[in-house]
Amino acid sequence: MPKIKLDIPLINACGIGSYLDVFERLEKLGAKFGAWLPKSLGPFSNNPILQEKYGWETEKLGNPNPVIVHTGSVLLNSMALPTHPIETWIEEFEKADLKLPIIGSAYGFCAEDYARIMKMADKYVIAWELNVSCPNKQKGEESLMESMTEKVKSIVRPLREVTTKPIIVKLSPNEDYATMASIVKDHVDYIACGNTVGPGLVIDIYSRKPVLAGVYGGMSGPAIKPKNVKMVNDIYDIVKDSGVEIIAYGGIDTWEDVIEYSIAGASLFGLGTRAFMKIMPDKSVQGMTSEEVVEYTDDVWNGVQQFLIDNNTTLEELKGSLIK
Amino acid sequence: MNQYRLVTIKEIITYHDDLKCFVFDHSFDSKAGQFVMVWIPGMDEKPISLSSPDRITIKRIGPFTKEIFKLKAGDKLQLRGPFGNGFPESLGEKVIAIGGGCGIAPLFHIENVDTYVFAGKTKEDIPQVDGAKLVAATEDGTLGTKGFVTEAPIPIGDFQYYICGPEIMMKAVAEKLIKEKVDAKNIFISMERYMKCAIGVCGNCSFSGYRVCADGPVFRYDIIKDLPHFNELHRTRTGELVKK
Repeated sequence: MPKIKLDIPLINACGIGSYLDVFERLEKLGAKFGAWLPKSLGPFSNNPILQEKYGWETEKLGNPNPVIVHTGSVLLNSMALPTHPIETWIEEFEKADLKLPIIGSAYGFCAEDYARIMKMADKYVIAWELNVSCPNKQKGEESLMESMTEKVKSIVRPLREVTTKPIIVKLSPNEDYATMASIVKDHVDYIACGNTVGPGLVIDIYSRKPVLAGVYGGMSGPAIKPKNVKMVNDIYDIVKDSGVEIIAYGGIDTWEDVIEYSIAGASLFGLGTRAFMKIMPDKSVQGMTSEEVVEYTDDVWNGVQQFLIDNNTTLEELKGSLIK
Repeated sequence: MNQYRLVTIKEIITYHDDLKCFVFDHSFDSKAGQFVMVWIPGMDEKPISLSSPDRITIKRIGPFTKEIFKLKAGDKLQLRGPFGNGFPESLGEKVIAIGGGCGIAPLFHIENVDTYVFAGKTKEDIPQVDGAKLVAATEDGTLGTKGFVTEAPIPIGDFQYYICGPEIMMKAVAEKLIKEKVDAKNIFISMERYMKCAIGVCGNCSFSGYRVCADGPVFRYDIIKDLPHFNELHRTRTGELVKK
């Protein structure tokens, strides 16, 4: 079973930071990440031959603004997977000057899309994360975003033919993830737990309209962490004897959260919104400068290491050590 | 709660048909060069610089600003922010504030201005200033120097230079100042990119790795002048890098 080997088991969650130039700058400043995860590649091409052959369009705009709203307790986003052509992504991969490895993320509208995207960009990544769980859909995208339970096997099963690299499937905390984990565990190497929670709705009481232009949004931030810790632990119980490992996402704020996810069963840890934004005393949110991101990841990673030293343990030993 | 502050428009100052200042009943704790996200429910949300802690000045250029122009005194508006770093507090040095087009507005927020240098198509684009000198450049020559802002007599000396306007204009002005022996460390420019989250998370406003909403929008010129995206590339709504 192929494994993801990183110097530091921290990665960014997909859609956070998103672009290779952002990662290059953070890397040069010494941010404590072990790999970078760019925004999802999707079934879009500027090549008329591929458009004809696969029925792909050139790009996907995603929702108009506002695409995020912070309630003081959680952040909701309804980006809806804005995507530019795979060829322009490949141009960015070619020009990137990164030392840390890249984990690719892919989404598709049909099972074949995943394989096509992975074939085209396989040489730039060390592993593939399959996004089968984005809760933000636009009209006509039901095939991707609705309940995946039946479809997920048809997506993951053929992919061993496409890549020798580790395959991660990112499941949703909003669906029957236990059933899905049982279905996919023989076909993937990692299960990522999970995508944003919800979706939820925030209403502007003055205009009586939804704040998000996409109406609903996936929820993230520290408030959702207990739900995803449970998801990690539930899935750990299902996959622990299969060799499948778990990537934890959702509400990681401090180093303690990394330790907690580890005890629940995770081996890799995705930092999300909290790694790039800060909550102010009045509960408003502000972006963190690149230097602040570096300082934040220092705190998280140093805290994890100090805990391991103080308790004479390792992340491997902690993994799944929850006493129920 | 949600992230927006509801403000009432107290007063609208009309400079000309396409340039208006909207004064709120609330002052934001802010610095010059910081911006707010202005939301029109059901339509769009866009970054607009504060031209003073309690006001924004808007040039009517598209459907969004057209909608804002329909607002009257007493109407309400929802904003989040302020965001970004803003221009540095000037430490004794006097400021030469250089603006072109929509980039003029945020400069009124700056304290300690010695001279405003404004560029526009015609004299109507050049607002009056109080308590500072004004150097103007207009394309039609109706006010100040006829031609581009780089042809105007910008004061040279021991100043901080704050520039806001189209990227090509900011670059041209900064390069001219450097030729005249101004230290690039004393030149600050305000960048603009397609903004979505405005809270540092999505990366869409990145240019050469700097997220404009969080690392900027104000950058010291010597830090960014040689970056590959500067005056060359920007990300569209899909995140694609394209030529400016």
